[in-house]
Amino acid sequence: MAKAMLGGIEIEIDEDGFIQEPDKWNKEVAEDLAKTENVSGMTEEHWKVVNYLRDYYLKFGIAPPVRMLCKQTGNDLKKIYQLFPSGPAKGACKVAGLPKPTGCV
Amino acid sequence: MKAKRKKIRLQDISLPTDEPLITIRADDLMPLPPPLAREEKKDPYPSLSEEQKKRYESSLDGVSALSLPKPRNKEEEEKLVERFLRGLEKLLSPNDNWLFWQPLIQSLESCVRCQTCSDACPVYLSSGNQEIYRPTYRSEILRRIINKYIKKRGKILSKLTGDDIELNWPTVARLAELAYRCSLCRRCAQRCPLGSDNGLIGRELRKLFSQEMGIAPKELHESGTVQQLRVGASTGISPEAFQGMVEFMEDEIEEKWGRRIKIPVDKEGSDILLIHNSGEFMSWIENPVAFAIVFEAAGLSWTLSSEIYGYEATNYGTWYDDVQLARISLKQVEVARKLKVKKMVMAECGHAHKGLIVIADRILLDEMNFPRESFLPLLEELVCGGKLELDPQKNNFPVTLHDPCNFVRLMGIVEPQRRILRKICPQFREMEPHGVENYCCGGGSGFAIMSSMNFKEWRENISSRMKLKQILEAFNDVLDPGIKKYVCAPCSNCKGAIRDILASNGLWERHSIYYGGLVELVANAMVAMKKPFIDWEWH
Amino acid sequence: MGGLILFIFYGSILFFILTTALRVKKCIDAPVHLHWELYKGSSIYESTEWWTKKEITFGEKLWSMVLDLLFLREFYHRNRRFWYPLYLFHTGLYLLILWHAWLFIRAVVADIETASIFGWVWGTFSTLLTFIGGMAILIMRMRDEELKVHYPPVHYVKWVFLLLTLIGGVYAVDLHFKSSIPSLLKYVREQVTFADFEHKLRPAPAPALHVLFASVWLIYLPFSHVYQLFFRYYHYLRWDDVPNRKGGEIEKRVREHLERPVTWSAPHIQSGKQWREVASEMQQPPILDSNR
Repeated sequence: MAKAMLGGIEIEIDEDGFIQEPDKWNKEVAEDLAKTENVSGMTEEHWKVVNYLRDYYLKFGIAPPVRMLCKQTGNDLKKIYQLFPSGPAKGACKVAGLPKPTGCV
Repeated sequence: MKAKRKKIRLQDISLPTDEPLITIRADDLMPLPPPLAREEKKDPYPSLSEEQKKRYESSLDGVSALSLPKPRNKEEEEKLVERFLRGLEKLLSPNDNWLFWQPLIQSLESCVRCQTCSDACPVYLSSGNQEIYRPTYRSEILRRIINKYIKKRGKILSKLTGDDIELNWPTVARLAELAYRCSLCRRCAQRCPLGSDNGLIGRELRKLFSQEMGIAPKELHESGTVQQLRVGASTGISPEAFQGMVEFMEDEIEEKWGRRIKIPVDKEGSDILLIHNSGEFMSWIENPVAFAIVFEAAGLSWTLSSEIYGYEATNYGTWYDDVQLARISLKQVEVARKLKVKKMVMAECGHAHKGLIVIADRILLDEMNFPRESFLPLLEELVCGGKLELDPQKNNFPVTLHDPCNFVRLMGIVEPQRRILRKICPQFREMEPHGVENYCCGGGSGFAIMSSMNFKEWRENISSRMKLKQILEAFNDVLDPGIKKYVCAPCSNCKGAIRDILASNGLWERHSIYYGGLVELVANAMVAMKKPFIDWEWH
Repeated sequence: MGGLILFIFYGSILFFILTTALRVKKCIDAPVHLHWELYKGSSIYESTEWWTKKEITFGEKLWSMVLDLLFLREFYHRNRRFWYPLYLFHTGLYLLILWHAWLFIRAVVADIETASIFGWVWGTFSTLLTFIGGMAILIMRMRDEELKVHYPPVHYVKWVFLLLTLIGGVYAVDLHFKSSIPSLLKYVREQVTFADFEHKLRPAPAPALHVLFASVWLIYLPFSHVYQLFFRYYHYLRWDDVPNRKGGEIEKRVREHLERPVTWSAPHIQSGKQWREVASEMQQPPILDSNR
């Protein structure tokens, strides 16, 4: 486990850059995480995805199915990859402060 | 001009150096066929960062699968080596390791060192014949450690017989990593003229590390079996989240099929309890959706389970830990018993088939010896038995089949999937070799879900390389991007591994090579579908 | 000197029998292991309700094993290059063993003088085959890149010793007994029937040496690969492809095994409890291992 400065606070991250302290997440942290994911600036489209992920995570403790994410945010997967080059799991989930997805995904 | 490679000996496993024994370069790798033949070659995996090298063991090949922390001092090292030896003793004891003692002992003792197995191993071949990836390298080191440190008077005898080896922390650390360079595909065991099972030896080594020393990849243990036992699924899906996913599936079904159905969940007394790898819901929800459509269209009496453990087919214990294997199997069967279904049917997940139907078979006693079978004979009956109205022309694109090791070579389910594909895919073509001789996708034994540090790159460029070659060869006459092609892989982890090699080589964008499960093709062929089932959108 | 050789020879036979018996016992006492198979093609799992289908018969498994032992079938298909010398060697060896059996039986059951030259042809031919095969294997093991890998050095000594044994046998039969089968049979009869005990204590050097070599082989045999093969094949085709039937033998034995204590000591396992208990309980919450 390492520590990183994100949004002005020190947060623990894992080897892949996912934050390990979910309650420390906020908009500034998200912006900084986005920079590590080659996202130069968070637009409204970015936020729509991140907010949906965040809501789902707070309700169910995991990331939503990929297809659900696409349908509910009105993006196809290609668009999600454009917004977050590492993809929905490694990119968008990381920016939204979710833990790294586990299992055969 | 390839530089002459340094010869690696068995004894090198104990070299007390931080430098990896080997570093694999682009030139070493097995060449790929078109369209990747003339691609600029890149090194198969990046080196770890300085920080990572300082903290974690990587002196085998510069790759870290385990994030194995370096011991802080000599004392700690010696304690760990002691524990390893205690674990090895237990592994070889019929009392402590009764579950696999006989095949392990016979595999250790029956090898005549003919190296016939080496040419069967995809990791060995793809890496350009790296000595440490030989199936026998790992096994032979274990034999020599046993001969010297476990057998009576071993220290003297081993010097006499000339097979001396040193057991120190570097040996143990490298063995731990080496246990995770074999995908347990057991092609070597199949090729061996005497039946010595190097895959089993690798698995037992993993078991030693997990059951005695608590060393296992996080993805398999903490986030895998431990999470599954705590929450119900290795993906972390809770029964509450599962309900929402089922509703979403019903929306998808209505969109594609034009019918609103209620997916049966927790329906007591059904004929069939269908269990998916819960990763399908997360990444490929169209697969469980297709199952629902096909089963409903065929009028089967079936149900899913939303109860904890009932919607997760995985059992990572099959790869590294007997205790977890046993715990999870029992939990899964218990769900089926309580639901009073007639049988459990495993959906598209390879190791779930092998784990629950074959490996756990003998620990399911009395009423726990519950009927469990594969979805394949059932699907074959539906498709080839005319129970569904299908139009093969809807699948008129090149399709090839990947044979998941766990239910093909390791279970003998070879023909049903082919009979189905021959019926509903006019342009079906086989990979070579196929059937029980097929190559592993490279993602077996948990590799597909292990991606910490540089392991993902190792997997994509080395263990999956043979599969990449097979896919390209199978489609070599239709590589034109205007022709959409489908790699049929009826197993979640295989799909994950294949997804990664298609993505990292740009094969979807540049050559329209798609991948997916088997039942999606069946749904796609159904006459009654309002919209084509397969979306041809990257997933 | 003669007494020592006698002692070694009969001692080695006894040792051979005892060790074999111990190994057989070890195999019989082995615990039931979990089902872990490998398939050459389609299996019963391709059917629905596979648990109602019949498995392959013992006769089929036995036949497969016989073919494999006689013709080294798996080597033929999987490593042809190595199969040639292996096959020569094994065929020669089988014939040689049969010849020895014939020698012992023939020496006792019928009139020695009428034994024909056929016995000498058989013995010489088998020895030649074994020698050529063995020599070829030794050379391949020294020169072939793949066959050199991991081959423990002591096994080279074994091959040389084997070739010397064969040469010793030829020397004994062709030089000492002057290729006369009746002389050889007379000698064997004496050994087997204890007819002339005095004579036994002062054996001729050539056959005595050969017998000494043979004793070494008898002592070594229970530890060699040959035995492993036997036990593996005894244990059905590869790993015992038998499903667990309700009320069957497997269930009974596994029930016993489940009462054994778990001795593994990782944090997620409660060491000391029975397998049955450990498998049906939840594990403790993961404890951070302070050693890591």
